[in-house]
Amino acid sequence: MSQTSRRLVILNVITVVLMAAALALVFLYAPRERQMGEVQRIFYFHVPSAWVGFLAFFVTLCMSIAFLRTGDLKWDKVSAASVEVGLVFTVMAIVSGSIWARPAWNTWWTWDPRLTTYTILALIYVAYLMLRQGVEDPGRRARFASVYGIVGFISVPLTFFSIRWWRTIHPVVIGNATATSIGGFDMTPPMLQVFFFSLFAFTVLYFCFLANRLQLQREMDQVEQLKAEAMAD
Amino acid sequence: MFLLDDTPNTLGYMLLGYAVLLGFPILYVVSWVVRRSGLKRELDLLKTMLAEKDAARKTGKP
Repeated sequence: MSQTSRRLVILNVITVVLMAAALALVFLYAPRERQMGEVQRIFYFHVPSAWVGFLAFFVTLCMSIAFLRTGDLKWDKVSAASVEVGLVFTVMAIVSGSIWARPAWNTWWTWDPRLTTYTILALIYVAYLMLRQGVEDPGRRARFASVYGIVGFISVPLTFFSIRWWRTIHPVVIGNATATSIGGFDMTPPMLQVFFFSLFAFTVLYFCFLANRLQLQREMDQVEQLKAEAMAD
Repeated sequence: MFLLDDTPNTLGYMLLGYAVLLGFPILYVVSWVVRRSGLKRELDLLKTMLAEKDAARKTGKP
């Protein structure tokens, strides 16, 4: 086993342990919230999912800038992998939020500023992957995707601040909620501990997914290289 | 009267939420396994093809 593979296995094991611990804390340690009941526990994984989505798209922004500065395709590969991983977490946050909203807001979906901006954000990054599929030349594809990755990132702060700038029913986790928000709650110390632990576990999960996705990318590149050799002969 | 638990029963929604929150990452990992097994098949095929070409070149056969 190579050193890279060994590191990846260690990271995978640490991630599984952290996620199992987070689940145990959510179900065995965190108290039940009185107003919403058990459904409030979704919050411990819903918010970290959304956070990881933002983090993934921030990594894409940084990698896109790095590619445009250096022209090295390895940054572009990290950028694309991060978008793919980020989209998984973004969809998780949207769907779990919708499930939470049914008992909390009495509806599965509403065109609230947060939900709307978050959906637009997801669609922007789906379009990023589609754009990549549409360009054959790797250099051109990387340039287009990098510019798109930088411009597309504008949607992240817009989504983050939407619940602070506009009238919304979405609760605010950090800071003061607007008067119209529904479903917010005061976190007790055990709730805070579980929340921050989940946030940490999800951050590690993101890096684990990114590392595994990049490993898969290396294998895909190897196949492409062999295909080119076979064609050249 | 005051001792009655007025917390709504939202267990079903919580279970559905966690099915999504755990199911999505698991599905994503499964997609890697599927993609990786496809790549491995392709890699083995390409290696065999290249080895056969090499052998043919050495023996001078087309």
